[in-house]
Amino acid sequence: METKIILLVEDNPDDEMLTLRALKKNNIMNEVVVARDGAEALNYLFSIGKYTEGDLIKKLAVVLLDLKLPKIDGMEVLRRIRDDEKTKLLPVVILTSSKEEQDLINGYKFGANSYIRKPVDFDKFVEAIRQLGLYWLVLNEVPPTG
Amino acid sequence: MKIKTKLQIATVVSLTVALVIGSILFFSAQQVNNAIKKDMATDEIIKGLFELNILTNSYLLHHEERAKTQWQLKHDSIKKVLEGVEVKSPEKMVLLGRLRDSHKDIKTVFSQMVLNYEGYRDEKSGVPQELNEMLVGNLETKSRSMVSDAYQLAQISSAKVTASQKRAYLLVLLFTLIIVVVVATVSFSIHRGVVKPIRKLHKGTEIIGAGNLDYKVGTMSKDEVGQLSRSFDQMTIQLKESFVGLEKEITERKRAEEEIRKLNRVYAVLSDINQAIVRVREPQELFETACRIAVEKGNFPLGWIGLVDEATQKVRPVASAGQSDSYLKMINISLKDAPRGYCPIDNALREEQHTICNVIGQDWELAPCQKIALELGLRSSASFPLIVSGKILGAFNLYAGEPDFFDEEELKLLDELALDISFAMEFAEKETERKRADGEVRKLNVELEQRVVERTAQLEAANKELEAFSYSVSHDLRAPLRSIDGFSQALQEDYGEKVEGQGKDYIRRIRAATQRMADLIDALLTLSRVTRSEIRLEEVNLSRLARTIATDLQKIQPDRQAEFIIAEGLTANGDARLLRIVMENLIGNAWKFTSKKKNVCIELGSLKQDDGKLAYFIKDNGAGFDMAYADKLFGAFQRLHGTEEFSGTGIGLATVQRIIHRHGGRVWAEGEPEKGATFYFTFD
Repeated sequence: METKIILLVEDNPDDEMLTLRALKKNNIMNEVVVARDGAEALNYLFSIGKYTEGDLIKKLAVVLLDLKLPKIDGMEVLRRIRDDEKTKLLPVVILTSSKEEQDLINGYKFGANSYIRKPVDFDKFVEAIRQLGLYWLVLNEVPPTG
Repeated sequence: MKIKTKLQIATVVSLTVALVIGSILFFSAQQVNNAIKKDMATDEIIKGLFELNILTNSYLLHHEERAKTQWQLKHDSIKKVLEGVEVKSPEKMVLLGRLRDSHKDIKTVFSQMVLNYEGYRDEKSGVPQELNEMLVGNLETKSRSMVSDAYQLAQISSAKVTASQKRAYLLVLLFTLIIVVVVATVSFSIHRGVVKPIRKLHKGTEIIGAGNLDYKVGTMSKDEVGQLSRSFDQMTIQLKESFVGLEKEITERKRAEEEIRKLNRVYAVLSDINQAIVRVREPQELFETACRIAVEKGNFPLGWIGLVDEATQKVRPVASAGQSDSYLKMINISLKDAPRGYCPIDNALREEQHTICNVIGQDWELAPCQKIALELGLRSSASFPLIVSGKILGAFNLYAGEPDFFDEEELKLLDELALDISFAMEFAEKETERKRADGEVRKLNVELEQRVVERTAQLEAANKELEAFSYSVSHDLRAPLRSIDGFSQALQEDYGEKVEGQGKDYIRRIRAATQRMADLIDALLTLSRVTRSEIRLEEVNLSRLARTIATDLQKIQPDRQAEFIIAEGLTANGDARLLRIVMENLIGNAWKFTSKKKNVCIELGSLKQDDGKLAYFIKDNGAGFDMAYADKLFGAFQRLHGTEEFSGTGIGLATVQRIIHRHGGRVWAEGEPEKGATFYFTFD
């Protein structure tokens, strides 16, 4: 079985590194594609700009989406994902520092599948990533894509 | 002599005369009757005599017994007639005597003849011729003599009748004449005594009727007309007296009516100006209206209002109506001048009371302006001072076209009017002051509103900023912390063997500090959210909330022993989410500060306060606090215990207080070191 790709949308290199470390620590070996702003993420998803490798969507297991992003913010990225027929059913997990109510409400309103707040405590962060990987990569069944 | 007497005399005379005439006529008629009767008797006698003659002849011829009897009967009837005739005059008596005698003689003769015939009847020769003839002749003679006498008698009677008739005519004529004379006399007397005086009286009534009550009919006669005239004169005198009285009364009434008319004019002015005072707020407009009303309603030819100029002390006309221009130009009054009192206005202003000039041209007050006032037809004037707050501001001046217009009644009303205008001026002054104050208040309000709008905008901006800040804090402030913690961990994991002893402790301290920082950020975010978020009121079950929180706490630290006493059915009207934060903080604190105690007891309850409102409390028997620091408890970042002793951000109670305040309630605490603390809170 072909391993699926995780799309990590994260502008902070530290967080990117810590997330990758946490994945590694949890033995999640899936390919992780990192987009460093909203525009990059959308380009990747819709295969425009520098990502033109074709239909990547089918390969995606989950999108880990930060909210506070340069150029196009996470909420907008989420909205566009849900607006497009091709990406409509893609699992999106919001992974952010914010605990703001508005973000939570909007996140779910625009169709996020999960909302996870990054704990400051790295141990807790690793644990969160572990559970996240276990759930979305192993337990969760994705809808068939045509 | 009275007319009545005169008429009575005339009537008596007329009646007497008529009676006399009637008697005469009756008497003469009687006489004529008598004469006729006698005439008829003589006629009968004559007729009888002729019949006797015929019967005599008849007897002589035939000698029948019937003729003899008839003759006897006839003779008897003549005898009866002769006996029935009465006469008085001697002449007639002679004639009648002769007639009676002859009547007897006839019988004697006829009886002789009968005797003769009967005596000789048996004898063939009969009666001797000569005797017979002699007897017949005798008889005839006697008869003729009788006829003649009878005629004579009749003639005498008729002559007598004629005479008496003639006399009667004469008498009637005479008395008729008398009547004519009497009637003429009486009518003349009536004409003289009645008609003439009546005509005079008639003339008198016409003259008096035409209005000359001084005229006297003056008839001296004593009769009724005289009396009537005198009564009439008397009446005229009385009429004149009452007429004079009436005239006086009418004049009086006219004067009263005139006064009423005047008063009505003044009343109309007073009423209309008072209405204007209610309606018009602007003094200048009021002055003009008042003057206009005085002229239009009060029929005053001129009305004007002059105000004293503060600076020059001169009277300055500010409003006028009527024929004013040329007159007002003449007005030049200055209160600075020595009192001259040449003008009612001047006087009114100086004396502070109304001043009148009732006959312009005679009174001294108007001297300088008299000429022009007279030309304008102004005949009297009055000035009324306008006094506001005890200060003379000007005068209201009225001019009438008639002299002596202003008397006590008018002045009383107009004084009132001046008071009303003064009052209106005072009111306007106060109104202006009030408006100015109002304007200022309004300006201030506008400024304030503007400031509020600005502040609100600023506040909104600040809120936005704060929100952005919170958001930023939430995201950006935590990210570095995560890095510090994460990489510290990584350092320890990857290079653990190279970091020894003290180094490991440093890493631990870095990570602990990082965690505290993260907690602090979260607490700050909560506090900020509590301030910003909207409150949605609903009924919140505090008892249930407390139990949930207690259970959660127990779960986190299952090794701790604590007794929770939670009163049943405590509810409050508030925002469920915020009240949860309150309860979490207070129960959390109780839990935290009892961690070093045995027999921990945490209690939720309520008690009624003095004002009848319910206060909730959460009581513990933990570390407690010194009441000296009670006021510091609720300040942000204020802590009464060291971090080492009890962990915490120092923001929890500040958050609690803010939430309770936002619910309109109050929160306070009581405590004693090592004995415990009680936190009370109420809701509005």
